[in-house]
Amino acid sequence: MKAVVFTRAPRDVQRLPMFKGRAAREIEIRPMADLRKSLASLAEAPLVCLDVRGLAEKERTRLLSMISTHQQLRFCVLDPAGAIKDVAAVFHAGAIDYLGKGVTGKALTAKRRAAAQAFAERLGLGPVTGKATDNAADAPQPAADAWAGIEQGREYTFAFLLIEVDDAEELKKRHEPANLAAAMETFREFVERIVCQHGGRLWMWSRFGGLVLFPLREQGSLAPLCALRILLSSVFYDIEESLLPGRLSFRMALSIGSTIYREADTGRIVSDAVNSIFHLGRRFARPGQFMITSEAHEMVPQPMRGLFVPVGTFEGRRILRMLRPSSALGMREGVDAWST
Amino acid sequence: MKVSSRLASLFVSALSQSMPVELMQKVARMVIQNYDIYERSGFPPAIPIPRADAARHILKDFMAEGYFLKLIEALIEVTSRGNMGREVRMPLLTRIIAEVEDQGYHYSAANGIFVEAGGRERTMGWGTLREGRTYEFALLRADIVGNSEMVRRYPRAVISEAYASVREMVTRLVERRDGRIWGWEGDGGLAAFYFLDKTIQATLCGMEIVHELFIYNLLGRTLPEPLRVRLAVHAGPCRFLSSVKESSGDTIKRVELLEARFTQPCCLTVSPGVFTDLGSKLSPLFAAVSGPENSTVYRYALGWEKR
Repeated sequence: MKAVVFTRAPRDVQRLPMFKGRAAREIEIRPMADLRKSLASLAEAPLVCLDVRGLAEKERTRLLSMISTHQQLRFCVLDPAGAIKDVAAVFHAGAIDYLGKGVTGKALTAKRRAAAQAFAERLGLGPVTGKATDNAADAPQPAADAWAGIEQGREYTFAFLLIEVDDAEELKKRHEPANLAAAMETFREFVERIVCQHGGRLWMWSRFGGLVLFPLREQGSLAPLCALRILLSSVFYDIEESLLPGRLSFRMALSIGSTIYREADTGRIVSDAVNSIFHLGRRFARPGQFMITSEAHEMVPQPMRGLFVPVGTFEGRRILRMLRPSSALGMREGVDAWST
Repeated sequence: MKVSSRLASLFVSALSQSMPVELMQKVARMVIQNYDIYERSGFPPAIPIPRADAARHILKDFMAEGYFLKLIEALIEVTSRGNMGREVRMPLLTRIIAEVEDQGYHYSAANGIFVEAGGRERTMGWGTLREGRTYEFALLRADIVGNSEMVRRYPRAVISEAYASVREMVTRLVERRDGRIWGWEGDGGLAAFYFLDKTIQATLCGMEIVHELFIYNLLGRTLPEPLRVRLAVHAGPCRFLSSVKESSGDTIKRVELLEARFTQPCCLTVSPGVFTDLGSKLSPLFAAVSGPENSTVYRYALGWEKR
């Protein structure tokens, strides 16, 4: 999600821990003086961020009111000093997030960004542009309302994507718990970033992996493309983001099924589909593999289907496996060129 | 960069309040070698120049020669490292930096220079390189294979749309890694990377293009056949000219040669110098192949395991 930050102190914004590292590429900093003239041209900006440092209350209110008149925009408030006493007023003015003292001191997670977007969707604030950094621009974007209308406590059909790090026990032996936890957090952020770009949400996530949901619509789901991008991008994760010394191996499994959707307390959910995807990922898939059920394979775009090979049946279902790219295999050269 | 009267006055105050004329001259010489304040101002060397006058002369000279930002960078360096083991304090420097940043630049502490901020139009020299000067760059060359045949085979509008998609993809991936497209002509172009880890960034960018092109050809292409691109990375000194057509030099020629003669379609080739920078996680992904003049170059290809 690209955010445009309007500020009187660009340098201070860059120094905020929340905008360090990769996040720095996902923001664009503009001087506060440009706010008015920029608003009209920002129709495509996914998020406007107003840095309220140094603004008197009257000025702050005026600027918030000015932004809120542009209904095509979603905006949030950046308040690292905690100057705003009445935080609720920010939301009353139409903001979708408040980034206060407690948030700006650490990296801004994709989960937080997704939560803000979800909040906006629930309130019907501004459009989801779907415009994102990284690889998303080329990706077919999910329907704007992919998650709209999905209510907690009701049953829906989803594409389930299980992602789990291999050899968790070995990693636990080799690394200090705190270091390993930090390393796994970077992996979660890597997965979440790509998942969000493809209309999915991390649903159940523990230390070494979890389950991602993609709502199914008439046009299908971007889950297979998402999994392919995770696989292809993992080489960049290993080089640029991973805190572990070697390549991080993980397995994936994709299926279609129904479950009651609940955002919290997911441990109480009883669902055959959820059990089944965990079985497929943990008992059938081997390290580094990506397995897919034949039902899920039917929603794979036709040109991509050739990347999968049948590997037998599991729990009464036909299973296919995606061929592994040379980049994921750590090979100097692919052994078979894929003809498109 | 245009220096506003407010910034000019701030600069003169900051300099004259914080350092003696000798130190001002020393800072000035960090940017313009042999800069002599007496010679430039016309003051006889025997007469001490008032600090404010010296600061004004330095400002005038550096603005005239287009080195104002470089001077601020030198001031930042002196205030952060000190001078001859002594601390140099310049309380107004923060305000000067803020003023410069308000004009669309941001100070990159990692590189010690001002570069254009994201909101500004991107220039080929990141807002900081000087025309005609020689710098070390990592260059990424991209070229669509079989352009002549494709132009003959498909209507112009169809080809234009497909090529525009590739250009947009390459531009997006290059700029995401703080690179700049230096030139693009129909079927290919040249991108430059200048900052820290430039060879790694150029190489990763090339690999990303290989991956994204694979997905584009699989799911998003508009032509009946896939678009195939050859990519090459080479690093070395290069004269910076805003007209890339006038640019030549060994580094550009070398990357063009690597791309045209030693790169297979849908592959990335890097020169030996670039390969040595890649590190233990990245280099195993590259295969050694024959290069120009009996040298070895290194190739990255996205292949798939056998069925």
